Parts: sequence; C-alpha cells; structure tokens
Amino acid sequence: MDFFLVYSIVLFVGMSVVLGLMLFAEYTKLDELESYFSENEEVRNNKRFWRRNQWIDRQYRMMLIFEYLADSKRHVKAGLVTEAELASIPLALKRWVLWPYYLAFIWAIATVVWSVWRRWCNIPI
Amino acid sequence: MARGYINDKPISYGSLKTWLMGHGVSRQHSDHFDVLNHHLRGGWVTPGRMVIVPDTESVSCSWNESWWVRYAEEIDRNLELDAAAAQTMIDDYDLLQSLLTYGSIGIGSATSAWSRHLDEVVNTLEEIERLHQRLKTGGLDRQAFIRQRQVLLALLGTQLRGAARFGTGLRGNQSLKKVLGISTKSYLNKGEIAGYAQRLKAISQTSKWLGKGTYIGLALDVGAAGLEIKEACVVGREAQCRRAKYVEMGRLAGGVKGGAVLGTVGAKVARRACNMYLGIALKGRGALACEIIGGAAGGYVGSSEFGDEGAFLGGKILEIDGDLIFQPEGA
Repeated sequence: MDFFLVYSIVLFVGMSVVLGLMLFAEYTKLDELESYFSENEEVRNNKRFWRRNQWIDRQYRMMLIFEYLADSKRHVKAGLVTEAELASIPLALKRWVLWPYYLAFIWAIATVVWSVWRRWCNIPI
Repeated sequence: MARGYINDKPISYGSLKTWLMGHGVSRQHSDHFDVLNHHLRGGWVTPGRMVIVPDTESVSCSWNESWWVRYAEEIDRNLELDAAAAQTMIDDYDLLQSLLTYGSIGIGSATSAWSRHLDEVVNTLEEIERLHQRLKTGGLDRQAFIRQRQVLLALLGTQLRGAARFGTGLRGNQSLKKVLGISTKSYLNKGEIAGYAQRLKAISQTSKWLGKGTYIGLALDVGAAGLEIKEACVVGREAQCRRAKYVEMGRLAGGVKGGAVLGTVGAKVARRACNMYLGIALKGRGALACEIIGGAAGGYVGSSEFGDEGAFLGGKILEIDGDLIFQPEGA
C-alpha cells in the first residue's frame, strides 16, 4: 500500500472523528457553556440570531464561545467578555470547546497537503 | 390623510398611541386610532409592525385608510409566517436583504470589484454634494435640484442596498434617508409601505430558507451523486457502473464531511482575518457577515476537496461476486 493511500485513509477517518467530536460538543456541552455567559450581551445577541437550534445554529453559537476562549486577551480588551466569565468555566469544559476545533484546523491543513500532493503527483481519482 | 409608521422597538400599545397621537386627544380620535389599528390590539407591539396614524381632521374611515389597513394586515401576516424570525428580520434587515440581492457567497468576493463599488458610492455622494452647492450658489432652481437629487438618491439606494452598506461606514438598520441624515421624517408614504410589505415577505422566506441551507446543499449533493451513478449504469457498462457507485458514494460521504468541518474552519478563519487585517470590529454584524461568507467558502472548498478524497478511496473498492474488496493497488 503506498504512502498516499495510507495518508488518505488516516485523513478520511480522522475527519470523521473530528466531525463526531464537534457534533458531540455542540449538542451536549453548548447549553452548559452558554449558562456561564448568561449575562454576556454578545452571546445573548448571537443566540438570538442563531436561535433555531438546528446544527448550523449550534455551530455558530459554539464558534463565538470558542473565539472567546481561544483569543481571550483580544476579546477581554475589546470589552466583549470579562475575565471572571472566562475563569468560571471548568477546565474540562474548556477543552471540549477548544480541542475539536484545534483538531479541525489541523485536519484542514492536512487536507490542503493532500490536495497539493494529489495535483503535484497527478494522482488520478 | 392617514400615514403609516413602522414600529422599530417593542412598546406597549398605550404608550405607542400616546407617542403618535399625543396627550389630550379627543375620545373620537382615540377610537378612530383603535379601529384602524385593531391588528395591534393585545398589549404589546413588536418591531416591524405597521401602525396607522389617522388623519386628525376626520374621524370617519376613508377609502385611503382601508388601503393602509390592508397593508398593515399583510405585514402582520408576513411577520406571523415565522414569528421567531421577525426580530431577526428587524435586527439584520441589511444582511438578510443582501442575501436576497447578491446571493450568500458572491458579495465582495473580488477585492477590486468591492473597491470599485465603494468608489461609485463615493462618486454619487459627491454628486449630491455638488448639486447642493449649485443650489446654494443659485446655479440651480429648487425644483430642478429636487428632481436631480431624487435620481441620485435612487441610485445611491441601489448602491447601498444590503451588505454593500457594510463596507461604506453607513451601517445600521435605519432607512437610507435616516442614515444619511437627509430627512428626519419617521413616517412613510404609500409607495414605500407597499415595498416594505413585499420585502418583508421575501425576507421572511429567505430567513426561513437560510436555516435549511445545509439541507438544500446536501440534497443537491445526493442528487448529483445519483445522476453520476445513473449515467454510468447503462447496459454494457457494468464495470463502470459498479465503480461509479463506490466513487460517487465516497465523493458524497467525503463532500458532506469535508463541507461540514471546513465550513466551520472557514468561518473562524474569516472572522479572525476580518478582525486582524480588515479592522472589522469584533462586535456587531460585520463579524457575523465575515463568518457567514467564510463558512460558505470553507464549506465549498472542503466539500469539493474532501469529496475528491472520498471518491479516490471509493475508487479502491471492488465488488467481486457480491463481496466488497478494498484494492489498494487498483483494479
């Protein structure tokens, strides 16, 4: 089995795992997370816009909280979130928000590598 | 003559009535207001609903007022089509309207097109300014000024429609005239009301379809996979047919997954990029617009690239005597 095929299989399986983790976090952790931001105006506005509770709504709501946690300094400085709000979230919950998305970034880069590799070596589908 | 007013904030019926009619209004005028606004009765008036302000000279209902009542009821019906979307429509009128006008991905895709568009907006504003100066210096009579300004405002209205307004600094949910400070009147004329009722209907539908966007894309992908398979599956092409089944199913599985994951990544990257490089504030609708555009672009790229990967892996599957075999070295 050549290396490209192994890479493709790992990428394909990995993407399924990443998607599963994202879905799991969005459906089981989001409500708890939002409860820590019950006083946050931006989170409330975002929740009102994405209120229909379909997957895309939960995705975009989770995304805002991810932004707060991943780039907390900038958001605290902009006055969108307080340090107390961020500190109140348990570490395990923070990890559920951050890691599926960090993995998604890694897999996105891996997909770019796959795409360039396939074109570079002219590998047919 | 009666006038229409679009309510822009939640307010009690009583307060709204006092605000529009003033204190010390006669009993007959008060009853007249109630008759015309029977669609608003029930305590609380939500944003987006139309209030009819009756003529203070008369207390009997005219044909003109029945026109307003008809439109007020139509607006209410459109808002009730999707009650949950009503506030969203009011809050994000610009964004939703832009999706109607430009399509979700098309806006601002090419930087040069965007910058050209903004230049045109600046030109129109400068022309209005020049026109005003000509009026002040006596180079233009008032009638001609009003006529020419109307043409330019109509042009500006088109240029600033929807999302185009985001890049110009003329943001907000207010009407164009309010944003530009051209007029302070809060009441709308008949033509504007008719347009408002129609736009609400279209926006209400767009807002509803937006929520189903993911499923529409999915349905199209499934349909496309089915078509590819069907095309290969004709008599005498059994081998191609079998291969097409796995290639296209692989493409579908990969495309859906890739679209989902990279759509999210695209939205995040776009939000961050808009903030860091374009200086769009983290707060407000600019960031939201960036997220949506980034999400759509990421979803498109992810779906296409990961679809190829799924097709590549699907092409390695062979069906021999009813058994599925993964053939790493090709058939």
